[in-house]
Amino acid sequence: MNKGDRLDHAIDAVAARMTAVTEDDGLAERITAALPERSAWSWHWLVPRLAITAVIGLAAALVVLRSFDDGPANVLRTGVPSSPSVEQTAAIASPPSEHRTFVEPPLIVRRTIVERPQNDRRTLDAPDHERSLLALEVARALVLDSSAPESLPEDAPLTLKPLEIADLPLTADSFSPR
Amino acid sequence: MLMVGEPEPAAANLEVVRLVILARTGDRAAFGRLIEDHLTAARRLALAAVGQAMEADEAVQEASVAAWTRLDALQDPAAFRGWFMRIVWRKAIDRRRSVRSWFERFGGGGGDDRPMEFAAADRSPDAVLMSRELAIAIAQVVRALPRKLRDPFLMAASGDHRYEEIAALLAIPIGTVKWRISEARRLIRIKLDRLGHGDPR
Repeated sequence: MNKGDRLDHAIDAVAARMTAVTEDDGLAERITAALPERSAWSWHWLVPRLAITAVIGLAAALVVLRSFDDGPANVLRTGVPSSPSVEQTAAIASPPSEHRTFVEPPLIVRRTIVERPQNDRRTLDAPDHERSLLALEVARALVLDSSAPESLPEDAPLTLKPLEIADLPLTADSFSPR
Repeated sequence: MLMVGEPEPAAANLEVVRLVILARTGDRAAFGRLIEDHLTAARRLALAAVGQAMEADEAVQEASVAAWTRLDALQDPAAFRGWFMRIVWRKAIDRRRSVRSWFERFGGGGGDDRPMEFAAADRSPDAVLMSRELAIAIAQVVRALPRKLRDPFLMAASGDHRYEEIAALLAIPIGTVKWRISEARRLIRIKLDRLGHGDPR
């Protein structure tokens, strides 16, 4: 046996002695005598299964709740008014009776009129920012009776005497030679 | 060289299955027979971890109670031995950690300074030839090994566990077990050479 083998043998022998135990015949009996009562079922069997069931149930609930969640509203609201205010409309409809004032038509936000396709299913009730139908209604509210010539006072700055063609001297002498 | 355990015959497996089924019904005698066949190996395994016989026996008792309580968790009754040994190893490791932490708290000097115990004096001719100083030196060097090398080395040295069982207990591949045992032996030789014990006579 060479040197290395002798050393290996010594190492194995010491290692085996380090894990050797003395015989103890009564150890098994002492252990069994100290065993607690066994129940029909044990927590060690039930708890892992309950935990797994709870995790699966929670995951399923999360999936179901997410599927019923409504998405965020995508309606974009603009600050552009679709129609002039009510007060503006009322002022145009009934101007003061004492004097005639020049009333500017209300500003129309949309100056382009887009042809509506025939298969357009949009209702007229919803505000249509592209066509401004309400602006036309404002124009209808303009009352023209109060601006009739016969109702205007004679000293109004914009009053014009109606022109009659018969009063004009339409002869050859009335034209200048040019 | 190191001796490894022999595989159990098929008839013994059937007996183990029968005893496990009886023990599950609350039969303590059946459970006692189950663990009695494995008590010596279990005590050696625990001793490899904790280094003291009393601590090892207490770890084995705790493991036996745990195995009795968790018998329903054993899916394959024929694998009772490997399952029981895993419980024993875990209890021994827990006890080693608690004792180590106690030593560190009360000035144990750090590291694993617990005294290693030897069994009754071996009167074989080899033991007589080997000097006492060499045996003590080897024991000290083995104790000073890193835990991940010492544990598989002592498990294999006990003669009760094959490489497959050691790999299952430590949750490492078999190749790693073989490497760690070989590495432990190499380090032991190096340190013995430094101590002047490289050539035993």
